[in-house]
Amino acid sequence: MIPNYILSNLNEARINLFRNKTRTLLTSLGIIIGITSVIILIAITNGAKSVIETQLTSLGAKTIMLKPFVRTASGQTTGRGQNFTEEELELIKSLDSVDYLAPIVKASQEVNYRSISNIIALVGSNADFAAINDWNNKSGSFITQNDVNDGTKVCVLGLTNSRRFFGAENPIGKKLRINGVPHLVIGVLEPKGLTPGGRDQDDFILLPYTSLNRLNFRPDLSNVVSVLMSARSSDELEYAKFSIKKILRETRSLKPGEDNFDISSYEGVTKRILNTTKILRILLTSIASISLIVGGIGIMNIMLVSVTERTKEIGIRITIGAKSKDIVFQFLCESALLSLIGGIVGVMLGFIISKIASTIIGWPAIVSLSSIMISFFFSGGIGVFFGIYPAFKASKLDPILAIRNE
Amino acid sequence: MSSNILLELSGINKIYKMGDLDLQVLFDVSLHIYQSDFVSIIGPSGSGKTTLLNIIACLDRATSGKYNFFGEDVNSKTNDEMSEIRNLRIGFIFQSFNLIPRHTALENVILPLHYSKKFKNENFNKLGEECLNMVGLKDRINHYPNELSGGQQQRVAIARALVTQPEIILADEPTGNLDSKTSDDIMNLLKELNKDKKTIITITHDNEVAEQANEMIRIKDGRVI
Repeated sequence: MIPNYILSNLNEARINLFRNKTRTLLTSLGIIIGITSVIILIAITNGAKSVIETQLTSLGAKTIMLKPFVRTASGQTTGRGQNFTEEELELIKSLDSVDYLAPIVKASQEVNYRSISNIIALVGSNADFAAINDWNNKSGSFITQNDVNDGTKVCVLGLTNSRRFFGAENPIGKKLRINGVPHLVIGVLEPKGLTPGGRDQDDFILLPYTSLNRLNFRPDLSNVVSVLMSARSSDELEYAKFSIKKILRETRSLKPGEDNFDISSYEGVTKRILNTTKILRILLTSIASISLIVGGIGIMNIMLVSVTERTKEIGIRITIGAKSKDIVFQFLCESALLSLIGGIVGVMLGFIISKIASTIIGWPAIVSLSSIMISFFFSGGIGVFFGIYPAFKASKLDPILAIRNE
Repeated sequence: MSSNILLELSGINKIYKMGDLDLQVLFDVSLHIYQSDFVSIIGPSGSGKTTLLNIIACLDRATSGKYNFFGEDVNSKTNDEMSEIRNLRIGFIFQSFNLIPRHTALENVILPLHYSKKFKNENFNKLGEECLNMVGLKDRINHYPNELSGGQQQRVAIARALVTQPEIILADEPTGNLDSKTSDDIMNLLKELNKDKKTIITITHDNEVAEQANEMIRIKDGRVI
């Protein structure tokens, strides 16, 4: 009975709304505009957020830095602490909130090519180094997981070293001697230029960290000065840090306060930028809500008109046995459907406009399922809320007077 | 005529308050209506017959007096309980048919079923088609009221009045908007229903119509005479 009852009421509402299409469209215009703007605003802010997030990656806002250290009796931290183990790094890498993980090993050694010889900063890492630092190849290829596993004698040059040893020559395929051992040059990195402090960021040579350690006859994971990680999103940064701490405390059986590692990130930047997008979103959503409320009032207005127009019909229904709740439900169905139609049209318009807008402004518009669900829920809710008063007014009509109304 | 009393009005007064003025429309009306009766209430306009019908129909409450409907006191019922009585016990026929214009004949007929718990598991369309068949409109079930003649519309209304299988049919000037030929058809239909044990109460100002009933109640200036 329940579904049948609801269905017949919805059908009744549909007949009434489609009988007067222009009025239905005009009435739901407020809701259409409101929902359209909600969809567009959410899509654009989501898109902006994803753009900002990509940009943040290169700024290091998603980067987490893990360092080993030893706490001295006085509470000061010094020197190298406990080395990270394969198991620990595997566990951290398997976290959902962590996308990339790269151990960093550093050394300075003599590098020569033909007659040119120099002491060069060497960095040992793995394939994730590029993604975490948003540092791509200018030419050639990057080190792979296989290179790391096998400790292959390959290297990728910072641009400064490409110029230093090879000048205008193409270095790829050539062999550099590092500490006397020949290493095949497989790629050259894009230049990053100087730091604000004047240090040349391109003056280094990148090797698989295993190769660098084996070159010095050390175990693969020794001398790790830091482990760089990238959180899946800046939202998950804090959670990732928390999870990493938990893993290390568990594997090392540490009590809080006994940590022999240090974990840090550029949280300040992330928080500030995320706050800005949040404020933006709150601002825009409140503008959209005003339009939704105005739309709701429009619906209430037209429902009141509709009750007046259909006084006789309501009288007939009550006379032949409709109870107050039947009349209330009938009119609520109608106002909810009216508003939902606005919601559906609004979602479609919002979707189309945000796609068009995204091609014009050049950042992605992300129409999320949740924003669509919220829109439907909201528009239906507005219809019900603003339909309550007209519906109750209808249900309180005196059938004797109502049925005589022409 | 059965001796089974369905409706019993005793000492019914109805007073409308018009500002400071009290307007009494019914004075000490008492009447009994028995099962399978065919009663007509006749009186000139302004005699209070419509007010009386509204009270009998459980659409309105008497100011004072007692109204027993199937042994129950109507005055103590809530509006929704009165709706339920109207839905299940009374079928309504009006002078102006009172069909819902954007509904087909069948949809109009089954409308009362939507408001009843009793029929929730029944096939509404089947019940509605049976009733339309009974009034001879089998081939008009999907027509809209404006596609039907006055007589046909009134038949649809009668089918609607029958669909919840009520004991009582209340007809308010059922032939008032119809020509004499069609009026006769409708009255014959009501007589047939009466033969099928339906209790019929009709109000009219037309003597010819009133005389077709088994019993006539004359009302004048708010009093039964």
